[in-house]
Amino acid sequence: MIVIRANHDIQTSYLYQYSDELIKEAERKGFRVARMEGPDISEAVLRSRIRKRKPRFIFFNGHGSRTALFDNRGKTFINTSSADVFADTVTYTIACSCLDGLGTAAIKNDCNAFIGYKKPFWIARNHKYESRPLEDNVAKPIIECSNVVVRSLIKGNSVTDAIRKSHEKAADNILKLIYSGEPLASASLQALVTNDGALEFKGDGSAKI
Amino acid sequence: MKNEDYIKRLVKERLYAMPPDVSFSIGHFGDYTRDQLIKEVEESTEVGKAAIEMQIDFIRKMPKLLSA
Repeated sequence: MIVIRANHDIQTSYLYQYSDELIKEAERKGFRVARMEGPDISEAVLRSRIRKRKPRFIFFNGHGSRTALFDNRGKTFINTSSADVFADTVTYTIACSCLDGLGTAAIKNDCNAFIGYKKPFWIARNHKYESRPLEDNVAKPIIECSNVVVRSLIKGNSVTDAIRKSHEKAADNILKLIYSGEPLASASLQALVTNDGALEFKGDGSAKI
Repeated sequence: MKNEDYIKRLVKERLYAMPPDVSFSIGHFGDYTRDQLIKEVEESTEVGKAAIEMQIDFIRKMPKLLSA
């Protein structure tokens, strides 16, 4: 599998740190994980890694738009014209809005399944924890649910099952947040409900990695 | 009061109800404190519109979430 992780602002640093555990978990399960980070995040490097490793799973953490994924400087490095990079893979993008445009283009170019968000991806945070994202209990229930998709796929579940498990985790966290006495819980709740409603896939729901 | 003004006021009140130490990261739009987000709503920027959409979506879903 290839894990592409931008890390150049607060949101990407949160996603970056929360994905460390996913990489360890994948390695424990025997996946060979190729990381693409910093200046390595480019179309040329991605194509070269794909050629050498033939990954079954591509996981992207960073910023995106309806039609593109952005590199570590916030510039487009993959768009609908280069969506053939996702051919023969299951791809999951934790990024804003790219399911409908980029996801559709990926499927047209033989991607097995493209999982993503059809709206902006929100992270509510307690800004006191900006430098310690893993201790931020406002962000944790949100990112935890989006990461369930990866955890489930690496356990051998299908795309449909991975998304169902993420929705189930979100439903649990939503209930906890509704009845939480924590003052910032309402911010987590709103972000989580929004993201959960925007998570979908295109392509073959029975695909596995 | 026009419908649009009413919705803006509703969303701003809902954001004011949150403690000031909350921030939101909204993809490539960037990072916003509660008060910055309220300003974006007030000025009807793209981010403000995304915040309105998020809040309205949430309000619509809330009854279903409570009955789950």
